[in-house]
Parts: sequence; C-alpha cells; structure tokens
Amino acid sequence: MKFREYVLRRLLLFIPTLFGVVVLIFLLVRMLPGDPVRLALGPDAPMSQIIALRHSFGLDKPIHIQFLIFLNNLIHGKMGLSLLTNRDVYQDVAQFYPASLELSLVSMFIAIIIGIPLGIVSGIKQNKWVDHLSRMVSLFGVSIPRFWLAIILVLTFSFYMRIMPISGRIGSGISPPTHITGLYLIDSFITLNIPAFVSSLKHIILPAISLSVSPLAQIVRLLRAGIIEHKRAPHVMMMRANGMPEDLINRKYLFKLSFIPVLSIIGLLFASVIAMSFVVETVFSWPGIGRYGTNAVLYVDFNAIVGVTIVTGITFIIANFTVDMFYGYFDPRIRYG
Amino acid sequence: MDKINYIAKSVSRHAYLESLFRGIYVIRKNIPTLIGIGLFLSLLLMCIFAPWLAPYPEDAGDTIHLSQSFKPPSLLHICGTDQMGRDIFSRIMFGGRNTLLAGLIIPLVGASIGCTLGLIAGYIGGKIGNIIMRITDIFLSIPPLIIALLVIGVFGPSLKNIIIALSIDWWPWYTRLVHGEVISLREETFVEASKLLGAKNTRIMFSEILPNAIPPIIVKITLDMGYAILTAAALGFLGLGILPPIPEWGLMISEGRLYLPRIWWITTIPGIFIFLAVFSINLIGDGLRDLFDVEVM
Amino acid sequence: MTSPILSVKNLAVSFNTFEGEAKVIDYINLDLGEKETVGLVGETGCGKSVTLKTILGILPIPPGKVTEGQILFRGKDLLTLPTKELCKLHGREISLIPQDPLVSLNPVFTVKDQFLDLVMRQGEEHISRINYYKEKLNKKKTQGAFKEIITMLQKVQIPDCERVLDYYPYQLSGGMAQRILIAISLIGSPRLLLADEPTTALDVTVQKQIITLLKKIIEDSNLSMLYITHNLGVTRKIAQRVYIMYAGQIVEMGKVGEIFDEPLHPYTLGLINSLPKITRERFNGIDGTIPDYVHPPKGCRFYPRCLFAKDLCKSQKPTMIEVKKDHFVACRLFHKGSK
Repeated sequence: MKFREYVLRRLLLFIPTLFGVVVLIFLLVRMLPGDPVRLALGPDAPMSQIIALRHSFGLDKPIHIQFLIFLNNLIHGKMGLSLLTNRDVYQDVAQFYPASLELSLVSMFIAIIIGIPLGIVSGIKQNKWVDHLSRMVSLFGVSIPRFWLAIILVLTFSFYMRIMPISGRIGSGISPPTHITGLYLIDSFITLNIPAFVSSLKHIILPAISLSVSPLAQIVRLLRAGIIEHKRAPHVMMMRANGMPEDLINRKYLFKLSFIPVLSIIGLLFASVIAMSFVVETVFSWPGIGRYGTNAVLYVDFNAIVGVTIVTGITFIIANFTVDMFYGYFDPRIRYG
Repeated sequence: MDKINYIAKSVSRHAYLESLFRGIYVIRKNIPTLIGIGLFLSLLLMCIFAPWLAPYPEDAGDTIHLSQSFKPPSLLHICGTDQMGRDIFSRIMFGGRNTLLAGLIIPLVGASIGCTLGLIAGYIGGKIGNIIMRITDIFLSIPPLIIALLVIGVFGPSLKNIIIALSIDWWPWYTRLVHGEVISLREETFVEASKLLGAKNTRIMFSEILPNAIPPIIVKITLDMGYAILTAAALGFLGLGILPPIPEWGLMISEGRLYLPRIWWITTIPGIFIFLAVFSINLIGDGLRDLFDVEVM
Repeated sequence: MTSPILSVKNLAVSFNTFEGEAKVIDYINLDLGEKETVGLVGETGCGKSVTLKTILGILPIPPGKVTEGQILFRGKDLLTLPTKELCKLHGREISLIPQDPLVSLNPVFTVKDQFLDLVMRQGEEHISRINYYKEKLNKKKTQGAFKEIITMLQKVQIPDCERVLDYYPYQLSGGMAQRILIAISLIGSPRLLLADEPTTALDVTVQKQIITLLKKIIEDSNLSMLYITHNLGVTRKIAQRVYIMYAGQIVEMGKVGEIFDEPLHPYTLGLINSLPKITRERFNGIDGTIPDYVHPPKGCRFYPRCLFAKDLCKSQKPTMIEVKKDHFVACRLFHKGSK
C-alpha cells in the first residue's frame, strides 16, 4: 500500500486511542476513593453544603452524563479550578506547557544529534577504542539517575564554575521573547532577539543534557546493534563486491536499515523524557508542567492532577503518531502488511 | 503413555541441565557480566545484612544527634552525617533495602500480570484477546510516570503505594512482549503435537509456550529492575515515595538539596549508590541478553 | 593455456573460531582463461564460498585470514593490492552474482535507488556528502545512467523495466530479482563474473531460464565466469572445465565432458552417482561427513569416506597429477606404482 493509505489507516486508529485515553483518565479519576467535594470543603462542612456543591459539580448525575459534561468542559477549555493557583487549570496548563515541551524537544534533539553519529561509528568500528568508549558511555548514561545528574551538573557548572545559571528559564533581567510558539528558543530566533536567545540557551542546556543522557545511550546501543547485525548481510556484500563505495554503504544503506528499530523506540524515549522531566524541572525550578504537576500531586490538587494527566497523555499520543508516520515512511515493508 | 511421559521428561531435563551448564560457562567468560554480578551481590548483601553490618544502626530511624550533624566523610563516618547527625552510610544500607526492594518487586509483579494477560491474549485470542490488547494499547499510550503520580496522588505516598502504582505502569509492556512471542510460537509444530495428544489449553500455555518465551522475559525483567530503581528513587526524590525519617535513596538526595553546595555528601553519595546498583543490574542484563541472543530493549 | 585472466596460486585461508583455527582452504590452485567458464563444484561446507569471497576481497578479515598464496587477476595480485586499486576493480573488472537474490538487495530501498547509486558511483573509494548530492542533482548524468540501466534490464529480459525499478525487493519474485542482480553485475562491463550458486535459491523452472540467460550473455560479451555450485549436473550445461573441491582442497580438474564420462577421484564418482537419474532406482549418497577443519586429517581429507582408501592415504597427502591431457586428479590411486 502506498504511504497515503498508511497515514489514513494510522489516523483512524489514532482517534479512538485518543478517545480511549481520555475515557481511561476520566474513569481512573472517578474510581479513586476520596470525595473531592469533602476534600474541597473540609471535614467540618455541613451536609447541605456538601449536597449543594455536589450538585453544582454534577457529581450526583449518572456516570455517563458526568463523562459528557467532562468532555464538554474539556473542549471548551474548562478544566476546573486549581486549588493552588485559583485559576482554571486550563490557564495554568497553557502557561506551563510550552516550557516543558521545549525542554523535552531540546533533550530529544540532543539525544538524536549526538546519538546517531556515535551509534553509527561505534557499529562500523566495532571493538576499536571508539566503540569501547561509546559503549561505556552508553552504559553509564542508562544507569545514572537523571535528577541526580541534574543536581551534579548544577553543582559543577553553576556553583563551582559559575558559568551556568542555576534555575529558571531565562535570565531575570531579560524579558521573554514575543509569544509566537511559546518556545523561547524559536521565538527569540524568529524575532532576532539575540540576548533572549542566548539567555534561553544558557538556561536550557543543563536540564536538557540531564534529560538527554538516557535516550542518547539507548539510541547509541540500538543503532550499534543494528549496524553490527546488518553489516554482514548478503546485500551489503553484494554492493561491496559490485563496486559501491564503502562510505555510501555505511551512511546510506546500512544506516537506514539499522535506524528503523531506533525509530520504533523514539516514541518510548520521548515518553521517558516527559516522565523524567517532572523531576528535572523540580531541580531547576523550570516553570513547566512537571513542576506544576508534582505540586498538584503533593497537595492533592485534584483538577490540576487531571489536567496534567490529560495534557501529557495527549502529547504522548501525538508524538507516537508522528513517529509512526516517520516509521511508515522509512520502512516500506510495514506498509505492505 | 506414562512411559513416554517419563522418557520425555528425563530427556528434557537432561537438555535443560546441559544448556544451563553451557550458559554458566558463557557467563563465566564474560567479564563485564561477572563484574555486574559481583557488584550487585555486594550491594544486595550489604543491604540485607544492614542491621548487623551498619556501624550506627539506630541512625536509620528517628534518632537525632544534633551535635554530630553535618560532619564530612571521615574515618568515623565513611559517608559523613546528615542534618540530624545521622550516619549516612548506615542510612544508605537501610535505605537500600527499600529502594532495592521496590526495584526488584515492581518488575516481578508487573511481569506476572502482564505475562498472564499476554499469554491469554495471544493463545486464546478471539474477542477476549482483542479486548486485552486494546486495553494494553491504551495503557501504553500514557507516559510512564503519570499513572503512578495519579495513584500516589490519591492514595498517598508510601512504599507499598509506589510498588502498586509502578506495577500498574509496567504490566502493559510484558503483555505486548508475551503476546508477540505467543503469536509466533503457537504455530509451531510442538504445540500442534500437544494438542493432538489432548493437552488442555492451560497446560499448553504454561508448560509448552511459556518456557519458550522465557528468555526475552527474563532479560526484560532484569533490565527493568534497573529502570524501576531509577523511577522509585525519582518518586522518592519528589517526596511521593517513602516518608521520612525512613531512609530511601531518592529521598536522601532530596533532603540534602537544601544544604548544597557546601554540604555535598548528603546528596551526592546516595546518587552514587543508585548508579552502582543500576549499573550492575544493566551489566547483568546485557550479559543475559548476549547469552540468550535476544533483541529486547 | 595462454595467460589466464584469473590465477589462484597455493591459496590457504583459515578462520579463527571458538574451538581453534579452522584451516578452511588448504592450498588450492585454480586457473581461469579468457572467455572461459569454469565450474567449481563441491558440497556445502567445502569452502567454495570462502574462495569466492577471498577472490573478491570481501572476506570478513577478523575471524578470517589468508595465510598463504596469491590471487592473480590479469597479472596483479589481488591480495596485496591497496584498497584504492581494489575498489576500482569491483564492478568494473570483477563482479559478483550472489546466491539468494531476495536477500541480496537492501529491503528498504527501491531497485532504482540501489542500481542508480551503483552505476553512478561505481569503483570510487570515498565519497564526500557534498559530492554525492551534487551528482544527484546533475540531471544529465542521472538521465544517462538511467538509460544505461533500462538497456541492461532489457538485456536480462525483464518486462516493463520502468515499473520494476520502482519496486521494493519484497515485491519481486526470485527469478526477477536474480535477473536484476545479473544486470547489476554486468553494468560495469566487467571481464570476470563470479557466480555464487546463482540458481540454488530458485525454483527449478526458473533455474533453467537463468542458466540459459547467463549462457547467452557470456557468449555475447566474451566474458569469463567462475561458476560455483554444489550441483555437478548444472556445470554440464554451462561450463567448459570443472574443478571438484572437497573440504578445502581441489581433488580433480578437467573438461566437463571428460569428468562425466570418466570420473577419476572417488569423490567425483560419488558425486556423479548421487545425481538423481530417472533410470536409477536407489537414491545414492556418500556416507560420512566433512572433516573437522580445526584438526584436519594429516593425509587425504577424503580418507574417512573413501571406498578405495588405502593405509597410505591416511598419513600422506596426495598431490595433483595429470592423468590425461588437461585432466588432473589428487589421489594416491593414480600415483606411480599403485593401482
């Protein structure tokens, strides 16, 4: 089947999955014990107030009606009030989401940009010193707790060497760039706002590095394994024997074949980056969903918890879908089945 | 019939032992794996025998020796003392019990649930299988930590809750793995042979198919233990895990943050131990993966 | 013969394995003249593929190594050539027709991609990225290469060439894929074709087509071919001379007709007897298996399976003797004084 059909097929699967996730979150949240109304009003509230509030929240209606109300509110951008910020969760999310998105994207970018060449070289020069070095680095990268690494990096570069800022997203004296996408690096680049760009870069580097080591390590390992597996393949031998330059074989033909399994886990890696960003954001006081969500969980800010979960879930599904698209584009065999 | 059973059993047992010996031989030649095993066993034993090995066992609890607080690493206190004057090394030994326990149990629980579901979905298939796989897909669409955060957010932080929450996070991966393996195994001739001999479904599933699917499962469980430790520590760091004064490696890192950068040992040292534990587990997992010649991430 | 195009002299190759050093090729000698097709026949595991890979220079060198010998191609020793020179030969002077066509093409690229890249960049050792993309944009060159490819595909009798070029390998049938590979091997106008059992992985009906095609191409272009196979019967159709190989050694060599009419070596006899014949009732084989290459027998390597074995055969290696004109055999049975 052609690529277009593949995209359509995937899209058809994508929508019910999205829906399913929303349903799942809704059910999980409703099934959890604890009475949100009681939590909101406190233990001494009189029964009448409880009933009244329950009615206003629609909690006395049957569950499918509740779900429809929930869905309706969701679409209209009403996610309920946050206990901590006293705003609608939707506004909180809108404010904090871009910061987390930027962090996750930059981390994945670093992981891919460094991971791919390292993986290829490691696979081609198997068992030479480059290979051993990168395998060591990979193993370390996978085993290091990212939040701890974040702390160590801050200690080294911010406190002892004083070349990096300690926290925040942008320097305190500099105002953030005009809001086009919400991603500071892109916005400041487009508006040619150099001081904002440099400052954003300096602030994002350490947290992004902490988050990127683990995906980087996994990309290197997987790519290396793929290249080693395929470099003795009959088709490689055929090409070599018939005159194809070695460089071309390595960089184009071996690479694409070995990269495909890496693609399939990039979605997963992105998920782990999102997950770990919760912790890393705390270390760097990064104003993102992670820090917001952690606080929400600590203070049992019910609506905020739900909001964060939904937003992260949707991000993840979209990311997976995008990766699936790339996968289908790169690997023609998948379109056949 | 019995005689055939007996012969079959003894043949398979012999083959099993032989492959076991060959496996041990291969592992023995693989130095990194040996280092991993050695390192991990040392850490494990250190934590198990903490009450007897720790220099200051009472420091793992509620004690306060404010006069001893913030002492840097020295001969008396190998890793120094924390803000309450408690010996950090002892706390590491006791804390390790919690962290390592979480790391070991979570993949096992997740695997048990996941594998069973995967077996059913793959072998019996049909409508039940479809439903199981759809649910699995949906669970897989949610990033790992989120479900855990939800559960902990409502049930409150504790070791038991971390284990439950993260096991819920983990099982879908096993279901998917086992489902894939079963689908490819169930067409094999030995399964058909069993069916012809009249074996019941459950017997086929657990005695025939499952043993053949075990290698990737074992590799995955081992590697997952590393990730589980990291995740449990992360939760502890956030304050969503075990509550003070019980020591836990992630928690200790977070506690020490307030006193950085001068007092570096409270935060740095538990992290090193987490790293060592996960590193050794990964070495073992890699060795197992090479041994079984399996491609599991 | 007048100076041969390919001459393998005293080649010895061994592999470092888990159990020790496996002496896979034990001093073989092979000559191939211009415009000649020579068959190299032997069972699985006798070392014929290794020979091929050594000639091509694509033997995986860490486990494998050439311990002795020369491989002279038009006078130049391939084993001592610098890589740059070797690259120039691949495809342009020597090329390969691989064994299993469906795994010999990269599955994630179209036929066109692979073929085009090969045609445009054949023989170069290094390519810089800039050059690669510059050439790709060079429309005239690409069009030229494209035309060459179509011509060649027509020559190998592929219908609807343009459509086939856009296929991915999994969409091809075995026969079609093998034709494409033959086209690939011919496009650089080589002098020497090395065919590694090109029909083994194909259906019998397709086999005949491919062999006929190869024959025609060889005749038209005056190529030399070294045809490797385990099927002695095939050599009758396509080769003029045949080398019989067993366990890393050449045991007999001669013209095809003579080998069939008068096989001399016991192994060759066994091979011919194993060929299925409509008139024969029983299915014959040769008892025994190939020897252990790590600890090969001191004398003749065929000794354990030989029906005519003598005690001397166990300890002394036979040398290659010309029994009749252009018919050589390595067997003690034909040594002076014994019979």
